[in-house]
Amino acid sequence: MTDALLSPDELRALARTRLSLRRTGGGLPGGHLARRTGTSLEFADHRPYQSGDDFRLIDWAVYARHRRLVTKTFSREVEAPLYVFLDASRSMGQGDKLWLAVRLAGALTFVAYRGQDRFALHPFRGRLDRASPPRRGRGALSRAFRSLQELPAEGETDLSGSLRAWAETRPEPGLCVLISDFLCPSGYREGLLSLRHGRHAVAAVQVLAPTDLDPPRLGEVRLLDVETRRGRSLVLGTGAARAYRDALRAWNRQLADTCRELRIPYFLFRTGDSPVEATLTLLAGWG
Amino acid sequence: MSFLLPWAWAWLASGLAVLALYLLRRREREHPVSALFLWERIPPDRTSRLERVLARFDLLLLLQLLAVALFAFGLAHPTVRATRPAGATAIILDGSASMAAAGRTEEALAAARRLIADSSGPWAAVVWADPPRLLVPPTGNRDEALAALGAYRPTLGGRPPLGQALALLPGGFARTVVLTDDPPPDPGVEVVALSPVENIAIVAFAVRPTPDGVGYEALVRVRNDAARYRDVQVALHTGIGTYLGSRLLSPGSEDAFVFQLGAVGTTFRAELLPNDDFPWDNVRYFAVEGAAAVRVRWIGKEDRYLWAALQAAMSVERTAALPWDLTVAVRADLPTVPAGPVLLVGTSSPEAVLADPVPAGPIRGEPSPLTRHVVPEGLRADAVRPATLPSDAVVDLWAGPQPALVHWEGGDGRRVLVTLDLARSNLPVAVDFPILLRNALAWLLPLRPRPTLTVGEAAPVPPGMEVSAVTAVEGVWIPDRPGLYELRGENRREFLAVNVPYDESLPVGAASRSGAVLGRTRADLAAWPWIAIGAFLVLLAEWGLAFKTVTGLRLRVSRRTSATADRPPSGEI
Repeated sequence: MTDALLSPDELRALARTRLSLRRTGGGLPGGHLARRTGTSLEFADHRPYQSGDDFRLIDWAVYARHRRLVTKTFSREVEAPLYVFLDASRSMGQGDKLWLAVRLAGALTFVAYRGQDRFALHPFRGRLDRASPPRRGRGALSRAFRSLQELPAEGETDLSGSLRAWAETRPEPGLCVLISDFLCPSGYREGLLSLRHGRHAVAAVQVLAPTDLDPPRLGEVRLLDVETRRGRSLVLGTGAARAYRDALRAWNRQLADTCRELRIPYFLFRTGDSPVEATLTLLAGWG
Repeated sequence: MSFLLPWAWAWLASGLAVLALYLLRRREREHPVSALFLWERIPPDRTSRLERVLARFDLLLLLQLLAVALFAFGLAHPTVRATRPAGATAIILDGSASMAAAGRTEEALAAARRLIADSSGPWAAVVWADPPRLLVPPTGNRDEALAALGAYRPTLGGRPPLGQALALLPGGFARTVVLTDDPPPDPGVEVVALSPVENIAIVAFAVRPTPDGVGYEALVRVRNDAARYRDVQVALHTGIGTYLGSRLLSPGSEDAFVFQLGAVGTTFRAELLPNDDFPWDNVRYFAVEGAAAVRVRWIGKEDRYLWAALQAAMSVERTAALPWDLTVAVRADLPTVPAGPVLLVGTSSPEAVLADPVPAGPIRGEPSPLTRHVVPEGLRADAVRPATLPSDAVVDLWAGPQPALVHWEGGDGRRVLVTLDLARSNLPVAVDFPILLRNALAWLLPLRPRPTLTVGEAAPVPPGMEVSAVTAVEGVWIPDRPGLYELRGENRREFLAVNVPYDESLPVGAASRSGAVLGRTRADLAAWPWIAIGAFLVLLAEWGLAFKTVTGLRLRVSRRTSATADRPPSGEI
């Protein structure tokens, strides 16, 4: 683990990337195309003239040719704040998952900063830390990076409770990125649903460590849950490891199915992955 | 590699304690996982006891056992023999007779010169002979050392224990090299063995009386240390005659020549043909006690026939003063028997009292050493004196019922008694009489072998005598060459046989060494410091590995926690 959150090369690679998502629900004008048409300079379509339409929007060239009155419509560009929800529980400290999550969150906030978008960082554990409104600018970015670097892995995860509590504050619709290992026995569906109900564009990012994907054959071992401190003794050999992989595969399949059902893009990254590539993959797959 | 304290290997047993502690302690290690709920329905693997035991052997245990083994290894004080350029060098040059073999002296000198040329000095050299002598005094001048080395000449004698030669060396010489053709067992110093030579040698030579006490036989043992079959011839010179023998000897074999001797002198010489690389052991000498002429003290009446017969039988000379070899008593009446061997002719003595003469019957003989080659039936006598004989007397001739010739072992010498009246017999004119007397003298005066001297061995010279081979040697004489030497006194002549030591003719299992090693010396370097460092590094690695595997992960988490312990939660951006 390096001390710098993102190296200059990584920042340089992210500098030209933009958050350009459709179907965002923000109200203020910005750089993101909204679902509805608006008054931007970008032509969108023609539609039949209706009474009350502005005469300035009638396409007279079409009328001269076809003798039909049609009105030009334009795209609507709105601002979309970026909300990054970062799981900072103890389980994220296993296998450097939190470090990749922190760097990925940093990369996303940097992309938002470069796109003049507002952003907010929400670490959560058993509950969401104080939810602050999204801000923009260099100062907000600096504070976000500093808080990410000092973010400890502690406490237990309550993903659904934390997201639901945040959604009840009725925040401005925006882009929500949820970064977690999603290894919470209490579930995650309600949390994702509460985000969707708030008209946010949501992306689910799962970060797993190699030891999560393929545990070592330790023989006689007492497995200790880093969050609940509960333990279980067993002989961890090839058979037990295979059964664990099957269980994890089933858990992740269920997560992917839930995301597909809620129309939430789902991404899985490993701790060895580059945060820049993960960010580019996320933005490409999300759009 | 060798060990100064081999018993320290017993410390390896402490590895058993490490193993026991390792296996007895709780083996269920804690392993943190992100989500235990995924493991809850997973059945544990079934493993056999052997698999569980084997699973407990991990790298930590191997490192601990390796550390224990290294500590035991180091406590045993291992030493590694390494070569390095030689410095102060002392040279022991074998000066025994075997070094006089053809080419061996030159080989030893060449090796010594190479030693001096390849080492940095200073040097000293000692000739390992009897007595040892300092050949090159300690010097740092290479030219001076090489010049002094030229005076090396091997002796024809043996060599004392190596310690006597080492005692001549001054202190301060870290390296001592022995140049020899016969390496001593476990010398404690560096030895350069010279190449062996082909040799045929007489390895044993002795003359002794035959079991019947009349004749003599010579034993010559020959050894062939050549690499091929050799047809050897042995010539034995007795002073009276020469005996020849021939035999084909296989490589590495020995064979004995036994010569039955008739008339013998007092000196013997055995010669071996053909010659070989070491000719000094091809000739061996032997001498027996007794003067060249038997000194006779005469008691009683003169008898010129008897004296003539004695002269015919053996070289004799009359003497009236000590020492004498034989006492001859003729027709006397002795109150006491003289000491030493006595020939009694018609003489009465306390041991055998003679009566007045009686007529003698026909003479007949008994099988006896004294009647060897004698025809008793040809002897005649008119009178014989009956005798009262000792119980152990043996009658050799009978004159009728009376003993005519008797011999026995007296208290202080042998006795032969003739009871016949010589003046009234045909014995003085009979051919068999000198033969009879010679047999009697041979029994009375048996030849006794003298101890054989070797070159370099001190021989005492009796008072009043001197060695004829050298001038004016009295007291103690140390021969420097093999041969027969005459001890000559006023009334006496004896012979000494001097040979090259028989040990010098025995084979040696020498192997030549290359000269490239001569300029370098071998030193035992203590290896325990390196072993101790290795053990310490192994322990360090074991500690680091244990720290990493057991507490490394927790330490990382706690570091992240402690870094922000005094900061508020950073949710605000």
